[in-house]
Amino acid sequence: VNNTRVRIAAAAIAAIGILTAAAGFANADAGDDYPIPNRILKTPCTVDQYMAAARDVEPVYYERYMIDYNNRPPDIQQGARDRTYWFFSLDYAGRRQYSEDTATNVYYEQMATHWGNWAKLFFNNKGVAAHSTDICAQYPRDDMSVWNWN
Amino acid sequence: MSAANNLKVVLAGLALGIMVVVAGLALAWPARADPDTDFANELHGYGIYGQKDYNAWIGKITCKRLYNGVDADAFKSAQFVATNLQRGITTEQAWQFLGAAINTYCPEQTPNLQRAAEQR
Repeated sequence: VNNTRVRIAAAAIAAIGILTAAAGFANADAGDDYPIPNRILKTPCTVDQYMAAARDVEPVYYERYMIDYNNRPPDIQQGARDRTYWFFSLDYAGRRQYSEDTATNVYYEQMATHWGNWAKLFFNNKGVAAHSTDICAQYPRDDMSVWNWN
Repeated sequence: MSAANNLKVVLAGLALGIMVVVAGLALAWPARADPDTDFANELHGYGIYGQKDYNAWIGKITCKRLYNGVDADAFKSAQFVATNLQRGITTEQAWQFLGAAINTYCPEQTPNLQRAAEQR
């Protein structure tokens, strides 16, 4: 009986080891949903549409992002806006590649050295991305007022 | 007892009295000065629960949307509230939430509520 117990314990420990190792490898690389949520890689919406949707259905997340944004100097704000529009101008393959690049190289995104959370509203939360992309198509494609939130 | 001792007793009594008053103020102060708590208590009266901080955010953002013109009138505000509160909230509760939010965080927006009431 004791022998069996020891074997089961050893097997369990080995299994945990394998799982941990597998998770470790997965984290070191980009996936179709990490670090950038799949919905963001695939959405046909513009930045303005996405933000307008987030303002309506993820208001607290949007609010916090905009408070952070408003606390940045104008050149950083401009940089974050430009970089966001640039990202949304990419097609799926381009966005997927960018996701890969940022996952494997922490220094890849220069914007992040000036403002760590510059893309938080877009990249950091799958739920926010899902809720916002669900309805973003119903908003105007060009509406810069989404950046004015004081 | 000497006069000096008498004075000591009086001073000690006075100090104790002041401490009691200060402690009382300290205890009573936060409850009165925190609008988020008052807001949460009012919501409970309408059967609206959920996280206090979250509800306070929604209340304040509702005001901000009226100021910024994102919501053009109180009907739009009520819709925003209904979308972002816990599932199963009734239309009546959404309006009660809106009334409490305006009362607590932006009383200047009360005319918006009155206009909506006249149109209903």
